[in-house]
Amino acid sequence: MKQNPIKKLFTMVTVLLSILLFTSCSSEEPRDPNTIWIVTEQTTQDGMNGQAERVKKAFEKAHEGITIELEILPKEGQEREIRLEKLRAAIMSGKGPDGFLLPTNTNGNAPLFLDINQAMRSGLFSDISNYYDADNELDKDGLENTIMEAGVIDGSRYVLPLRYDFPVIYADADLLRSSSFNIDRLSSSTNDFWNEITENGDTSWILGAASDKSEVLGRFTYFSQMIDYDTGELVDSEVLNDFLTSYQHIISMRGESYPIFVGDIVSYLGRKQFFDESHPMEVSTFSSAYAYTAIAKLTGQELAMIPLRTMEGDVLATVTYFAAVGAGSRNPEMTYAFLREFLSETCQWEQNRDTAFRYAAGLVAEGWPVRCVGAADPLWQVCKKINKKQAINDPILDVTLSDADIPILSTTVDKVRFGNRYLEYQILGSKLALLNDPLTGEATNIDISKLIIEIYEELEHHMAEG
Amino acid sequence: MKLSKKKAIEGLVFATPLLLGCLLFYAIPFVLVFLKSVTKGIGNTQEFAGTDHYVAMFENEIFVRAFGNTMKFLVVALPLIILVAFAVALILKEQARKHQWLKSVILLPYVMPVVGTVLIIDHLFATTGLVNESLYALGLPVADWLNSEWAFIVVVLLFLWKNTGYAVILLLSGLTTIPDALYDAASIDGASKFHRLRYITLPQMWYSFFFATVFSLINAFKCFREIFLIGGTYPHDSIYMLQHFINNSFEKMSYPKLAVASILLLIVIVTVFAVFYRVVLRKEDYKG
Repeated sequence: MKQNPIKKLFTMVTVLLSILLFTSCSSEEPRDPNTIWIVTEQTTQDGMNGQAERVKKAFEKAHEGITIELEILPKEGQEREIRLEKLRAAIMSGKGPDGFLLPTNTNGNAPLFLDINQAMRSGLFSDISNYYDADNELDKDGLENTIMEAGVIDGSRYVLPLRYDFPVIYADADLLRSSSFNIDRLSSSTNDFWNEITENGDTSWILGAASDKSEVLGRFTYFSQMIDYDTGELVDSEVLNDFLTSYQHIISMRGESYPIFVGDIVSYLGRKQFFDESHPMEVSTFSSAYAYTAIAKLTGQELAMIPLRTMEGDVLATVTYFAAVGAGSRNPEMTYAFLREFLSETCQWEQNRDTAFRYAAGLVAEGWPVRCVGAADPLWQVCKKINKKQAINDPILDVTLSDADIPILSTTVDKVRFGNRYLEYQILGSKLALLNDPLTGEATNIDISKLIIEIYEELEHHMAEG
Repeated sequence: MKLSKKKAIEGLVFATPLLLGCLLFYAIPFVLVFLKSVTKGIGNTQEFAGTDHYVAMFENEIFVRAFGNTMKFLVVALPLIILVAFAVALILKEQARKHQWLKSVILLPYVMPVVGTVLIIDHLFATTGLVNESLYALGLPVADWLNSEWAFIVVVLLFLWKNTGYAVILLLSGLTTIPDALYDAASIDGASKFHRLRYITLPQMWYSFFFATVFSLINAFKCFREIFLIGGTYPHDSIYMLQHFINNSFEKMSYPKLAVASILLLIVIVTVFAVFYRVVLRKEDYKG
C-alpha cells in the first residue's frame, strides 16, 4: 500500500505542535537571585507599606545590582483568595517568595500563613540562625529577648518578630484605690479579672472591663494559649468552660451599652475626655501605653497599668508583625539583610516615617517595637507629628515622654505566641458570639458543653491538618 | 492479527501527544508527590524523612476518621449506585425505544449546577426544611439532617440522585449490545425472566459494570463540592471526607500530609480496582 504523504505530514505536524505545547507549558524562566521577592500585606491605618518602600529604596541604593520586588497582597475578596492559593502552591513547590513581611492581624481576611507557629515547624521558612548570630551590626541588646525567642524552634531561628502586644488594664489609680476591688485578683488572670469586676464593680467598671476592645483582647489572648505547639496538647476543658462562663456573664452584665474609648490621642483631641468616675477603666493594648501616659500627664491623673494575664496567670505577648526568609528563597543571605533592616532603630522607631501620611490613627501596624528600650520618646515624637494638624496649639504637643514614664514597658513577658486573629475568630470568636444576644447582651440558652466540644473538634482538626 | 512495524510506529506517533500529556500532567506530578511524602521541609529546608510522615498519618485521628469516612462512603455508595442504575437501565431498556426523552430526563440531575443541588438539599433537609416539616406534620420525630449522623445518609442520597443517571446511560449502552436472539432462544427454551437476567444479561455486563463503577468513583470524589457547600470547611464528623483533610492541609501548606493522604488513597483505590478488574477479566474469559 502506498504511503499517504499528507497523512505523514499531518502526523509530524501534530507531534511537533504537541511537543512544543508541552515544553512551553513546563518551561519557566528561572528567578534572578539578585531580585528579592518580598510579600507583604496592604496597610491602611498604619505606615508599614510606606516604610517598606523607603527601606527598599535605601537598600537598593546601598546594594548595587539588587532589586527588591515588593508584592502587596490584595486586600480582600476573590482576588485575594486566588492570589493566596497561587502563592501557597508556589511556596509548597519550593518556588515561593524570598521573604515575608507580614502582620498577624489581616482584618478578618484569611492570612497567607494560617498559623505561624505551625509554619515554622513545617519548614516553610529558612533557618536564619547563622545570619542572625553573625550579624554584629545589629544591636541585639536593645531588642526584647523574650519576644525575639518566639522565632526560635529547637535552637534554630526561623522568624524575626518585629512588633508585639498584650492586653493591659488601664485605670485611674485614685479611683481604683478607692474602689473595693481586690487588686491582686484583678491582676491574676482574665477570669479572675472579669469575675472581680462583675462581683464588686458597678456599671462604669463593668463597661470598661467588657468594652468591645476589651473582650476582643481578652479572647484573643485566651486563644493564644489554647494550643501548646511543642507538646500538641490543648487547653483543659474545665478551664475553657470557666472562660466561656465568665465571658458570658460579663457580656450579659454589660448589657446594651457600648462604652466610649478614651485611650487614643485622636479620640482625646476630639472629645477631651479621659478617665473619670463614669469611665474609670478600660482594657487596651500594651502598645497604647504611650498614648495613655501622655494624656494622663496632661490631665495630671495617675494611671494604673496592669497586664491582663492569661487563665494560668501569665503575661502572654502575641507577635503582631514579623519577617521571615522563605524556604524557597534563591538568595537567603540578601533576603535576611533586607528584612533585618526592620529591626533597626530607624524602622522600629519609625524615624523614616512620611509625616504627610493621611491616616492619623497611629503608628506602624498594631504592636510595640521589639526594640523596646528607648522607644517611648521617639515614637511619641512621631505620633505628635502625625497628629500635628489636629492637635494644633493643643497642650498635648508639649508633653514629653520617656521609658521611665511608662512603667508597664518593663513588664516581664512570660510567654510569647504568634497571633492569629483570623483563626481566633473562626475557632473561638464565632462560638463566643453565640453566648449572648448581640443587641441586648443577655445570656442565651446555648449549651456551653456543646460549644466546648465544637471548639475542641476544630482545634483538633487544626492541629491534625497543619 | 499482528501489526506491521510501520503501522505500530504510526500508531505510537499518534498516541504520543496523549502519552506526553499523561507523563507531564500525571506521571511526573505523581512522582513529585511521592517524593514530597518522604521528605520534610521545602526548598532550602528540605530533608529526607523516610516513612515518618506515613507513620504519623496512621496516628493522626483526624486523618483516620477522614479516610474511614471516605472508604465508608465508597463502600456504601458505589454498590448502591450500580444496583439502582442497573435496575433503572433494565426498565429503560424496554421503555427507551418508545420514550427517547427519558434518557435526557434521567441525566438532568447530573448536569444540574452544584449550587442548585445544594439549594435543593438545604430546602429539603435544613432544620426547618420540607422533610422536617412533613415529619412534624405527621407527628414523627424530626432530625438535624445536616449536622448529625444522618448527614451521611443525606450525602449518599445526594450522590445517588445526582449520578445514577450517568451510570444508567453507561449500563444501558452495555445492555443494548446483548443480542436479542439470545433472549428469544432462552424464552423458547422456557427460561424465566430471572434466568434470562442471571445467565444471559449479567455475564455479558461485567465490563459495563466495571466502567460504570470507575466513573461512579470519579463522580463520588466530585461529590465533595456539594458536601463542602453544605457542611463547610468542618462539616459533621460523619461527612468529614479525605478531600476536606486535603483541602484544609493545602490551606495550611502542610504538603507532606497532602502527599501522604493522596498516595494512600491511590494505593487503596488502585488495589481495589486491580482486584475488581481481575475478576472482570476472569468473568469475560469465556469470550476468548
